[in-house]
Amino acid sequence: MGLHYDYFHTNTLPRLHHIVWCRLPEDSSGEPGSTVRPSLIRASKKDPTTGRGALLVSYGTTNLDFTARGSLDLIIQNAERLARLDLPMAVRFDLGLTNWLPWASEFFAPPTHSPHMVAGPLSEAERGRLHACLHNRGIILAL
Amino acid sequence: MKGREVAAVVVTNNYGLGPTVANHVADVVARLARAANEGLSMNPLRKPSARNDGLVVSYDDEVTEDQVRKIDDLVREEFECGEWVTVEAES
Repeated sequence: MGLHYDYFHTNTLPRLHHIVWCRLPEDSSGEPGSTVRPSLIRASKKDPTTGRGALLVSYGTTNLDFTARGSLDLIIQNAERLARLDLPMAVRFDLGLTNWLPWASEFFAPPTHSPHMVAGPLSEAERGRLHACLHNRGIILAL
Repeated sequence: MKGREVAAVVVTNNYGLGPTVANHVADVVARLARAANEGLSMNPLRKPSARNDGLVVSYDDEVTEDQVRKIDDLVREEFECGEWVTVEAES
């Protein structure tokens, strides 16, 4: 795929701590994936000289593993919140693994049930839990 | 009494409508019943929805450290050139 990704305009770069639908590349070939998964935006950057943008994301999984990961990863399982975010199942965002991904169609796409690539922002309560998890991991110092 | 005639009587008695309106409603009911009996889909009666080219959602499996490393390798070049500036980050 080289340096020729199909970038979205940097004006559309999603905000910090929003949930986006991420298209993970196929493992073997590196070709764009055929499925999407919810991912949490941890940071964003852009290159004004070329009009490129990128997102640092943590990936979501339905494997909640609440006992071991409840204090380390952000888990969303409230039915009302899941409905509002259009998430079909509860999700745990693994805050220990991140990738910088180009803000491009090869890496982000809407799911079949929604026209939007951005599912929505974390709620105030979810942001609070996220900060506690990041604090527990030593990623941020102050709560 | 056939189903269509029953529907007309029900509409007349229950909703106080005249025989013309009642017959029209009964016609619609009969057509819908016939379509249902014949196993016809009601979808053609609806407006077609907008096309959605989205991808299937799948997040049952966890993304592994190995996958993350491979993706880093895949996109590394992309971030080695240019003048990248942070827009937002956790603090």
